[in-house]
Amino acid sequence: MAIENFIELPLKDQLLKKVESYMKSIWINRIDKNKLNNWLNNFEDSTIDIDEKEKLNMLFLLSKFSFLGDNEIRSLLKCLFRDLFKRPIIQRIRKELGDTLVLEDINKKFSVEFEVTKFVAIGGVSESGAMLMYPFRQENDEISEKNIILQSEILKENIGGQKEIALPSVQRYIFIDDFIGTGSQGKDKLKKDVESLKNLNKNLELCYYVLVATEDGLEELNKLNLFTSVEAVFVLDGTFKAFEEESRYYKTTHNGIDREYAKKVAEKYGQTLFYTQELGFGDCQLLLGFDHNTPDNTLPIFWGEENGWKYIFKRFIKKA
Amino acid sequence: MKNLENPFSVLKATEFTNEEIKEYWVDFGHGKNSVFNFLNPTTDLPKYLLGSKGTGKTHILKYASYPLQKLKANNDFNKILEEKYIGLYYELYGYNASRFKGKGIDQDQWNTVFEYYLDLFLADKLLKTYSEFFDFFKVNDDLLQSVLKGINNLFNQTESPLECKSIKELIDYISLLRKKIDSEINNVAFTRKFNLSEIKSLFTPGDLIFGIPELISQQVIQLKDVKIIYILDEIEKLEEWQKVYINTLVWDKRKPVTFWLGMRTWGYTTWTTKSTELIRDGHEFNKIDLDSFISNNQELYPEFVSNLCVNRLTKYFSKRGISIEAKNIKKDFEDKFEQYSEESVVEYFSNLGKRKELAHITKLKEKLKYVIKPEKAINSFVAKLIDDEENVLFQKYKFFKFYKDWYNLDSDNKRLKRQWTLENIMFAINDEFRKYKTGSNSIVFEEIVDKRKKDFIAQICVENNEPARNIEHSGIDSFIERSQCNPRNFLMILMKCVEIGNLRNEKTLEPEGKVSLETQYRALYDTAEWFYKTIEIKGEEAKKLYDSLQFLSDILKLYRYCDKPTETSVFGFSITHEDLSNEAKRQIGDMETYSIIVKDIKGRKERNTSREENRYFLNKTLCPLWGLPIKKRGILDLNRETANLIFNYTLKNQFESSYKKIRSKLVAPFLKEELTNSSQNTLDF
Repeated sequence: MAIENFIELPLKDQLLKKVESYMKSIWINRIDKNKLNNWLNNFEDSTIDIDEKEKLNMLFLLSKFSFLGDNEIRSLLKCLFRDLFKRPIIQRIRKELGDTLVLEDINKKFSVEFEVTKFVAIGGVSESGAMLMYPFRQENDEISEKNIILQSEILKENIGGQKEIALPSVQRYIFIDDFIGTGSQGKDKLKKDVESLKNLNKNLELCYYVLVATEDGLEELNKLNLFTSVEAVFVLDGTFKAFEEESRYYKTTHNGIDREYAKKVAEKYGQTLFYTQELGFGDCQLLLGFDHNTPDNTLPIFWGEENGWKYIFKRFIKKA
Repeated sequence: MKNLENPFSVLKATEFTNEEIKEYWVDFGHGKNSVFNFLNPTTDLPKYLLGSKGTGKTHILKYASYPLQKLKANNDFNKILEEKYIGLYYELYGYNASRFKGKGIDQDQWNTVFEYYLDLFLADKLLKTYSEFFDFFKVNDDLLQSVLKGINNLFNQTESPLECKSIKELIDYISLLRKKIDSEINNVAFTRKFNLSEIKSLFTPGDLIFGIPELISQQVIQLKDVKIIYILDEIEKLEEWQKVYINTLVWDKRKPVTFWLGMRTWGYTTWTTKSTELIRDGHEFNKIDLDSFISNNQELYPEFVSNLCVNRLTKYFSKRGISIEAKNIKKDFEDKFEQYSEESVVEYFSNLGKRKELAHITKLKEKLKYVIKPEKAINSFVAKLIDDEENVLFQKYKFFKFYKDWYNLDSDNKRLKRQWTLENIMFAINDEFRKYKTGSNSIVFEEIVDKRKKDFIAQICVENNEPARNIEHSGIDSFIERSQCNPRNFLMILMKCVEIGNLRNEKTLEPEGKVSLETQYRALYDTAEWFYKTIEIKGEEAKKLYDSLQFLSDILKLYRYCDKPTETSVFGFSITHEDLSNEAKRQIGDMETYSIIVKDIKGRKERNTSREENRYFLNKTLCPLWGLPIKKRGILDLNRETANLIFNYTLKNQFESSYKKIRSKLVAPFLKEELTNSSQNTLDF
């Protein structure tokens, strides 16, 4: 169908159309017109011209926001199991068996490997790691409840008050989470337990798999040499940083859309929303949200709630 | 009843419940203008109700059907019978007619199965409906048994006589027969053969659907002379041979039965019956074309759609406990729409021109590079032409005259030597324009202003990337005009106004709400896009149609947005049919059938030869996509070559070079060399 000879809509309308289509599909029941308007009305400067330019630039950013809803998360969970966990093991088994194609032999060996594997929900029962486990099990038939444990179930204290491995038969722990931003949170949450495990059994395979991660965050964690491997289904390279020169969002030029200007706007409001981290934790500058939460590495203008700011994507903050 | 957030969001009668069909019903007019005046249910002649999508066919047909008859009569069956008919509505979409073909089965067998199944499909609802009447009138058992005996006898009795003792038993039996056929159809892809014992016809086609009403009309006194109207909707979903069978039923119908068939205009494709006799409009049936009916009664259309709008708003407010008089609802709603003003647009751009160079000036400077050297002389040349005129529209008038005179220069001279001539032109234009501004007689500029004003305002908006400012006509009346006699188009524009207005925080339906010009523009654009994308044509024919539409809109857009328009506000064209190839004629016919173009009933004679010309206009709903006007002023005479290139797909590869040729005469610097410059994107202005 040839549609290229239409008179082009003004950019504001093109962006609104895009956002409206998200509201009717992937953002359904999440963002409605009131929420959108309230959010856009956050950007109110003293002069009308600037106000409009701010709104247009922020609307542009919103139109680029990646929101992973329930369906998308489930697909990623399938990929995580298949591509990060199962496939490498199968490849190794086949190699060990002389590149065999005999399914029965492969399955037999894989069952043995699977038997000594535990998928670990990172953090407490109400944290994202644990929340992911239910759909993780639903989407991957091979996994049953017995294959999953909480982080708090890895180690136990013996009568003498010393830590020991709670399930000595386990050879492989797969730590599962939704997201790695700078990597600092993962490190804080896991370092102690992982080091204890390594001290107790240096032959353990300790993997940390997430749905989405920044390239920098992965590098940071890999540098620690804590884990056998740290991987993500979807890796966000530097182009996902909203305002960097190589930003993927500003590849095409649009009249009135300005990367530097938008950065200043995001910083101006971000300062009041997330002190010293105005472009998101660790200066990640992300445009990313999950069905269950929005990472603090995402621009605070999307999720901040300080000083009467109206968020558009909710961020649930863990209570101490 | 749904509590709609947007009162215009339901656009199809199929999305309404029966209660809503009744609640949202608005007749086209009163008395002789009522839809039911020409669709008269008391006459025997079958009706073929044709219309493009959104003309309201389904709403009309459902409104005439039995569930609505019951609702309107508050379940008083005596009252229903005062209407002297029972309307049995069948939506053929649910019938899944496409399954009656292929799967390794001979077509003759499919024909028989389809006919048999259709009779059972119709008889099922017929019996269920009659059964409700029998219950209401407490028909005594003797009479009922007599009726049943008659019906049983309609079935072939040779092998095992049918002995249904109640209507329910009969309905169950028919349902069982249908299920058996369903099962056979579902499995025949594997078996490649019908099981005859399961699918064998137990009556002659037509015997049940005509025989049962005939029998009941004779035996049940309350139903004597009560017509049964089989209302079959969405006939266009049927295969050609299936339509032939329906035509055959229409031909064979027996009292008290008649048919109403609803279909898209493009779905009306055959008049043949199984006996190869042709059914004829006015003899075997009456064709009612809703599009023509509305176009021929255009004076009634605005009131009709206004009533639709008020009806929706009344329901919307009453569901929120707000009671407002209909006339106030209309006025309040109309007042919300911001009014378009040409003066405001001109003022806006004139002010903008003080802060930055507007596109028409930049464009002229670029074009002058071809004829003025050194380049630095261009700025002062253009400044002299503008002559301190700040009004952007006045600048455009002068530029137009300049482009026109530039084109008229003797093209044999080398362009670079022509500077003196262009200067003379520029000074002459300034002298002439001063006369116009001071009120002295300037026929040249008075004519330009009269003919070009609207086109130039459109150009200013589009050139400066603010097309939304050129809405040209705003408010409900303009939406009515833009809807091109199609109620769904009109409701869609209103639905979009509310939806987009709410997104823009305009609180459209609240007391202080408004509908800005920006919102109106978006609503019109989105409606146009929806219309464009939902043209109901598929496959190769779709490609041909969309290609022609693109070529046509390219040409119309060129004439509106070029430097030197030769026509005024064009969105239509005239052609002489004798000049067209058969393929081009077919394509124009298709575009008319699918309401892409609309034929002007007033043709005209060609200037030189006095040959009859046909005039067509682009559907006004589509015009915003290309920034085209909606008021008829000028018309583009398409010559034989251009018309065939646009509408004959076999010539499509030649369109671009022809387009460039036309463009080179309308767009400065009027270079013939452009014809060979393939690297230039000539579709830009």
